Amino acid sequence: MARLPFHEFDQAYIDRLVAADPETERHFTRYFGDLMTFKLRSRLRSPALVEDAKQETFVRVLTSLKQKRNLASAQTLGAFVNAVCNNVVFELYRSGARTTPLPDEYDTVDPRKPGADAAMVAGEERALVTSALEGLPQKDRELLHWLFFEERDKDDICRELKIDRGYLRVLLHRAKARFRERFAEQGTP
Amino acid sequence: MDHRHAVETLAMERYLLDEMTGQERDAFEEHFFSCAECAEDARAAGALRDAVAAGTGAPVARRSGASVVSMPVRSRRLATVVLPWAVAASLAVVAGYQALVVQPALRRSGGPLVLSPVTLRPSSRGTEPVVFASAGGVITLAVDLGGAAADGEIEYDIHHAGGASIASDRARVSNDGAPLLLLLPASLFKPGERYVLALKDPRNARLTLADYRFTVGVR
Repeated sequence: MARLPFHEFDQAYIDRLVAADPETERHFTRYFGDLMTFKLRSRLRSPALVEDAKQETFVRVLTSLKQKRNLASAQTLGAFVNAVCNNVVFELYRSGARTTPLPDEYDTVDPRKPGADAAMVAGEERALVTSALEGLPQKDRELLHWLFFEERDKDDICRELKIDRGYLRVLLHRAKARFRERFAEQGTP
Repeated sequence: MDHRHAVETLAMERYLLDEMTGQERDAFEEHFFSCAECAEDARAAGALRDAVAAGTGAPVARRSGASVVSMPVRSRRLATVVLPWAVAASLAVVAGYQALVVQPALRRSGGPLVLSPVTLRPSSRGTEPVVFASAGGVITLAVDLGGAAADGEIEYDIHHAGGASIASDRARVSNDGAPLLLLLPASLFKPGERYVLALKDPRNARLTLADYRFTVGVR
C-alpha cells in the first residue's frame, strides 16, 4: 500500500492505458488491484477466486476502453471499474451455484507466481507493514488482533473494554490512523 | 455517498467492522473507487487487515499471546506412561478447538488443520527440541509439567534465550500429569532462534519451577 505516484484519471490517462503504456498499466493494475482485493476479500472465499475476479475485471475494463476509446467522463473510471467488478462477482456467484463444487485442493495455493520485481516490492512493503504494526501501542495491536485475527464478536469486545459500538469505531479509527502515520514515516527516506 | 459523509460517519471503520447494510456497502465501495483520499484509506485498511489476519504484529499480551488447553488425565500414577497417549489424544481436542475457537482466521483455509506439537521436557532431560510452525501459522507445544504445577496454577513466560519476553500468562493446570498445551502464533518467533519457556510459581515470581529450552526450526 505504498503511496502510488499521483495520476489524474483524465482522458490522457485513459489514452495512455489504451496505448498500453507500461507505467500507466502498472499504476492502473496496482491501484485498482488493491481496491478490488480489499472489496473482494469479504465476498469471495479464496485468494485464487479473488485473483481470478480481479484479472477478469482488468481484461473487461481494458477491452471496453480499447473498443470505445473513452468513457462518458474520464473521472468515472473508478466507478466503471467497480461496476465491472460487481458484474464479475455476480457471474462468479451464479456460475458457482450452477456447477459442481470445486475439489478441496482447488484453492489451497495460488500457483501463479509474481515476477521478481513484483515479489521484491511486495516483500519490501510487507516488511514496512510489519514494522509499522509492531510499532503500534500495545492496546492498538490487541484490538486489531481481536478484530482481524481472532475475529472475536464485536459486542464481546465492547463488553470487555466497557465501551459501546460507536467508541469501538473510534478506537479502530485511531489505530488505523496511527498505523498509516507509522507506515508513512518508514516509507519516507 | 460523498467524501464528507464518508468521513463524518466513519464509513471505513463501519465497513471494516461489517456494520453496513448491503446498500450502504455498495454505495461506499462505489465512493472509494472514485475518491482518491478514501482509496488511499482503503488501501491502508486492506494492508492492515490482511497483515493482522495473517498473524503479523500480534500483541505481546498476557491473555492473547498463547492459548492454553488443559487436558484431564485420570491418574497421576500413570502420567509418565500415558503422557505420549495423552498428548496424542489431546491433539484431536486441540485441532478441533483451534479450528473452531482459537483460530477463526484459519477457518478460511476451509479444511482440517494438521498440527505438529512438540513435547517439551525440563531442560535437564534430553536434547533441546526443534519446533516448527504448522501450516496454519501456529506453534503447538505440549509441556510436560513433571510435577512442576504449583497449587493448580502456574505462570509461564516464553522469552528469547537472550532474555526478551514474547508471551506470558497464568494457567490453571491439574496435578495429575496432564501436559500443558500451548498454541502460539508463529509470528511471535523468529526461525532459527532459541527460546526458553519458564514455569513460575505465581505466588513467588522469582521462583522458577522449571525451564524448557527449544529452538524454532527453519523450513
